[in-house]
Amino acid sequence: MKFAQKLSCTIILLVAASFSVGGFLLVWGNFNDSLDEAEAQAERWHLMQCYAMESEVLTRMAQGTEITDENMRSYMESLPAYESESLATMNFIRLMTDESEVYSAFTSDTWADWFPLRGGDTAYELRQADDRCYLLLQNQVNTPVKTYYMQSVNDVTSVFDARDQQLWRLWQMEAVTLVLCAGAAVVLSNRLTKPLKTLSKASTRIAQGEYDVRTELDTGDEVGLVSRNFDAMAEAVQKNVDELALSVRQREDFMGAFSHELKTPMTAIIGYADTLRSMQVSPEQQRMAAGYIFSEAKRVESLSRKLLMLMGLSEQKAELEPVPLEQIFRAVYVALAPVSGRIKLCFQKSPGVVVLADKDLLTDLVYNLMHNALKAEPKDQRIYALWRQEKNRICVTVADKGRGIPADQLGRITEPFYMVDKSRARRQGGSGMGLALCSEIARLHGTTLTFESKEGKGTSVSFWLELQTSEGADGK
Amino acid sequence: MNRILIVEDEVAIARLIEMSLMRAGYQCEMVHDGLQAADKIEQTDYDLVLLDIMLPGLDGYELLEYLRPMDTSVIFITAKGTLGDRVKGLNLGADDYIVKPFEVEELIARVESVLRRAGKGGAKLQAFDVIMDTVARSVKQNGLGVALTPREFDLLEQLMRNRGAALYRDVLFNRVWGGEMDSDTRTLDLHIQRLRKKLNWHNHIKTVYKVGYMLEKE
Repeated sequence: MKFAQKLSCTIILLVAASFSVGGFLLVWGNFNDSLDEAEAQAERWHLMQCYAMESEVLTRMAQGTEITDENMRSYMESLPAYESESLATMNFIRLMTDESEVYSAFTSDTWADWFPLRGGDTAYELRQADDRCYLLLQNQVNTPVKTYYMQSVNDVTSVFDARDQQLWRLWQMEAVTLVLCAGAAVVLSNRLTKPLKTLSKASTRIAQGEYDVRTELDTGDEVGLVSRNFDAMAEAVQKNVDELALSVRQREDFMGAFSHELKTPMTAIIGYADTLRSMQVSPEQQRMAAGYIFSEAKRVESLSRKLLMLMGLSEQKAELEPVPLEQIFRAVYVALAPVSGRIKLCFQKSPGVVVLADKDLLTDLVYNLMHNALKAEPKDQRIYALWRQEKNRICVTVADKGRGIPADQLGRITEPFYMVDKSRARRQGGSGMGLALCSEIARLHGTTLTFESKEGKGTSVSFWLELQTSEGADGK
Repeated sequence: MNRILIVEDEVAIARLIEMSLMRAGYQCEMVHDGLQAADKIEQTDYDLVLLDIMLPGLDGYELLEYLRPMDTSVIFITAKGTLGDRVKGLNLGADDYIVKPFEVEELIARVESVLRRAGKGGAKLQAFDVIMDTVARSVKQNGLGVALTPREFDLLEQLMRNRGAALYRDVLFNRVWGGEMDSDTRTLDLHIQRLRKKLNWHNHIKTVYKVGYMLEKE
């Protein structure tokens, strides 16, 4: 059974039960009150008849009239017809002596059988006959002559009728109420359990691999909370799965790129070497073959060196020590000046700026970035190494006004072997490893490389370095 | 003479392939990116295209789509050597798939086999008045059959495939007999002499001093 059905049934049962019990208690209370009232009325009337008769007897005795059963009967007959009140609609009376009946207004013979001929002082009883209800009353009327018994039958059927009618109405109302309530309960429970269905569907879909499914229920209650937590969980799962997929893809890309980078020069080397060892070719072809063997072998050598360095860096932890920035810039200038040609290397002066860094690695980093800037062929024939201080850190920026990097490739340029323009990179002696190395060095310095680039406008690469604090300087 | 287009962005490899194929008697052109390749294919009717997959401009798969409606055989030459890559390449309709690093001999053999399957020749080598059928392994001179031993046949094939280039003795021996050549063996020289005699090619098969032998060009 579904939760919604359970909920609906429970609501319906509860409503039915409480309505029935409440209604029944109400009707029962009403009925009791009405019956009491009817009884009281009947009793009042009955007693009134008794007292009236007693006083008639006394009056007659005072006048000296003899009291006989005949007199009594005529007295009874002279009584005015009972004017019915609302509840006990009809009252029938009979007067008895010990021996015989004096007067009777009973309309049914069976009524007489109901009374004990001689009872106690007062008899009081409810009887039913022919679908009607009667209240039986009997009183002794003591006269100096003899004892009479006043008996009356009071029809109280209307009280029971009223009760039955009320009950009937109650059932009707209950039926209507239950139908409405059932409808409301189904709607309500469906609404209440809808978020659960959503959650269940979402979890099934996630289990089937659709990790981007979210529930986003804003119910403002516990279900909403579950939904939020569920979404957070799904988010975490998706993130993990994505990361996993990304790392698998990156590894595949790396292996693919690595084998390509290795196989290409190997093919050339093997091919040319095979040609040279097999036959005597023309001197030009010989030179070409030897030239390619040399350059491709150099490429493999440089690739393996950089790869080893990258692998070494990823395991290494840099030992940072105070280094004057000026010294780094100078080292880069010395290394880069012979290859810079017409392009001017502009270093911002940095007297007294001492950063925490691994000197060789940082030199490599700045060198690589500036070498890249050189290769971007800046239009103003200048490349820049700049810095600015912010609290106890400095931001070092290498900038050029060269060809820039296409926006859609910015995210991938630090991947090993990634080259924006492979043939140009090859011509300029690149292997696609430079920025991978740079970002690894940056990581060892606790920073990352931030690229800003516009195609055709230029590129700037920034990273942060910790400054040597004054206390540290005092300590040394 | 079959026309072959080499599409390879690595100049070193492109020139290696060009050099080898031209020596084997094919007419070659080479381009270094996908867009140039598409232009070339548009302009000229090639018998065979050697396609690198990772290319600037259009990649090899895209070029293959472009080539498929034409009557041009395609061989992929690529560093992508996984089974999935091979299957993908062949499913796309490439005639063969060569994985780097390859050896030149293998490349030429595969080029020949693809051309042969496409009915564009490839099985026949010709030099002067001799026609060699490498599939039937028969040699005819002026339309008349010449009886050659298997070794003689292999030796002649090597010479005909590398016309104009002086082949080193040890390489020739290695390719025909397999294994290393003993320094004092005369086997190779004896077979050369028999070939010269059978074909009456005393002038055509040249002895290159301190190198080996060469079949001269016409």
